[in-house]
Amino acid sequence: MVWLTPLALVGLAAVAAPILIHILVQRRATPFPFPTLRFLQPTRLAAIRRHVLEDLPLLAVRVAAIAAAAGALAGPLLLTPARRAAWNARLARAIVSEGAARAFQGAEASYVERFDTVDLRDGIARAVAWLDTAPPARRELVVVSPFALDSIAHSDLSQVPRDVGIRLVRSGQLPAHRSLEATPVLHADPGSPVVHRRDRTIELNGPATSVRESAGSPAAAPVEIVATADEKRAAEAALAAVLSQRVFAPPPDRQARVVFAASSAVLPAASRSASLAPWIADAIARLTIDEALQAAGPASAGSDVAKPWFTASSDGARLVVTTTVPASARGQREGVLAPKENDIRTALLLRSIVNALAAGRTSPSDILPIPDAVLRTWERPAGDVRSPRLDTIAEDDRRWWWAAVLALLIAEMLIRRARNPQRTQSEFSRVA
Amino acid sequence: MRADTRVGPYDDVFSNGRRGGPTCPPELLARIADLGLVARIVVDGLVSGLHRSPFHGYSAEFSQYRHYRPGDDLKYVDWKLVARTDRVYTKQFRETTNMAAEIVVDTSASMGFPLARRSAGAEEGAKAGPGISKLRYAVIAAAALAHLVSTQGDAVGLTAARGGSPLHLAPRTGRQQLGRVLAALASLEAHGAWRGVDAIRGAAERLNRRGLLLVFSDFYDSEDDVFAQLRRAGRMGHEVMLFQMISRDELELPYRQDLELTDLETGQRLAVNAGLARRDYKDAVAAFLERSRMRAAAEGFQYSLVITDTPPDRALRSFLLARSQSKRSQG
Repeated sequence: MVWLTPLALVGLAAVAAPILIHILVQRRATPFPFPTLRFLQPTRLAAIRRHVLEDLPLLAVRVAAIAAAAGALAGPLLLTPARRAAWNARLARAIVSEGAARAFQGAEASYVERFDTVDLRDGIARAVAWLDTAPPARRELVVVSPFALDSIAHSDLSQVPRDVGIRLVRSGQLPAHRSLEATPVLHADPGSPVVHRRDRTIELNGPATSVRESAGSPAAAPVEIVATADEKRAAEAALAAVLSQRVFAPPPDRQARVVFAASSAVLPAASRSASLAPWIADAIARLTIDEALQAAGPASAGSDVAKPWFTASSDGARLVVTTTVPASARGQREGVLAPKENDIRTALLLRSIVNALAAGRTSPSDILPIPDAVLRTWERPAGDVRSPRLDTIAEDDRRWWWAAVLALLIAEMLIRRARNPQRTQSEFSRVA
Repeated sequence: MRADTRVGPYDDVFSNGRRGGPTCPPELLARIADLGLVARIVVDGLVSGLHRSPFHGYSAEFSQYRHYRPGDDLKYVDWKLVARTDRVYTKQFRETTNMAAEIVVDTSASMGFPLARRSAGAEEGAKAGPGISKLRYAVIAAAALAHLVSTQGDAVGLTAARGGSPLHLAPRTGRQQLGRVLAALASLEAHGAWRGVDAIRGAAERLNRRGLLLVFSDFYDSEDDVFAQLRRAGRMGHEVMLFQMISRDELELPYRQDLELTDLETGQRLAVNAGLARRDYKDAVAAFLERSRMRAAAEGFQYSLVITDTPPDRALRSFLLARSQSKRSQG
């Protein structure tokens, strides 16, 4: 039992009124002619009245009538299994459509609301707000989108109440170009799998962490990170942060190796070649003018690392990008850096490298979608209605309570009539 | 004394072919305005089941023979005639009587209870409606007995009070006298106090010789003086029959709430809680009734406690049956 207007329950205080009336009202003894008083002794009526509540049935009926009226005003709602079943049989569905993605064929819903948006996060927030005010029913959030990488993350769905079902429907085309610029500040999302290429997951493994394609050779990885076990955590965080952004896949023949400073000693001596492939030169040029990278680590003219090394370090730790191309990995660009845990420069460098590798790749296929397997893990069915918001409930049981009030009032009237069928003072009537 | 043409032994009166017919409730009888009709109804119900008159005259002389009919008392069969004629005849007698009955009715205000319209609050707890008043019941019973006595050829008279003035009808026989008695009974109203001593003394003195004194009262007034006067009447040779009238409400005080009781005769007021006072009240009433019964028995009076929710014919039949048995045991 819940009360839709619980404030009205203060009316229950009114039940004190009939009780006080029954206690306090000095009922006058009823005049009654009687043949003789010789067999009677006087009684202390006032003393009796103080201790005895007269007409208990009548008082009980009056108190019950007032209590029922107060209860009726408070909007009683009995949460019966049948009522819960009726609520659970209904479905309130909020459909969030990104851009032109509208194709959704689902089961019939009792309440449907559509939210068109260019930003799924905003659309989801509005849909959740609407579901919160929907009538009692199972609630479902349907997101219709091509689900480009970075269009939505698991953290965006964590704001959705747990009893709201989530259905993610892929529809529409991936955007033709990046709609979201990478920001200088990158955030790692350890809960999300790192996705670099469509249908392939990059794994981080080995004592020297490296990025590899799950099914390909190490040489096929666009970025290879070489780090010691101590540097593994920082390397993973930096790479995850970069890949959680919307990035363009570089061509397969463009590869880079990032060597963390502490690991450079274990590397074979790199041959330094002055001959640069055009794309490498272009990439280096891009790196050198990368404003974000420059802001994180301005070039030091006095660095002991001469060009073609590019030094970006302000605290003595070297942050170097070199164009050295090992003979075993032609076309590979190597960067050496001295990472700090959570150092933004590490992530910036990685992103800049990736951007440089993929420069000029703007075809739609370069926009990576969130894999279906990931989407399935984010989905869940709508839960049963547990405790709906009171202001969303349009039905209640007031009518039954008012009927009870009416019945009690009739009973009260009948009791009074039965007690006092005729209130007349003309007692002396003729003998028939 | 006059010879009545009524044949004896009271066959026509007491053998009307019905046995224990349905009784008529007092409330219904009270609605019938014609007291003569009421009296006949009561007597019809009363005599069924009785075989002999409760009121014996002093002689009965032979009148005629009649063929025996099943049910006739064998003691009236003339066996000598049977031996002579081989036919069975019963003897019929013409009764002569000199009995006079004087009916005394208490018309005090207390006899008007229960009132036709009871006060509002007092209805609570009462089991049924107010019923008929004690006076009305006494009038019906008295009318029935007057009808019975007069039909037998005996004299009947009435002593009561009407509007505070004494009402006397000396005992006489005949239909006209019965009509006068019934008319006087119908006109009685409960009013004021009952001067029982004067009424009983006057009634006893109006009976010239040994007669029948029928007293209907609740005996609330001057209890000792009234019984002293009744004792005097008994010593004068009159047969005294007392009908103590009381209503069910007086017996049981079935009310629950606070009442301001007003004495119908004195106007005195008394506040009581009926529920709390009931037990002591019932004990006091029972003691009073028992005292009345014992006094009547001690003086040799025939006493009957009449509760007004009992059908009059049933109450009178019980009374008359008891009287018949008493007479039989004496005779």
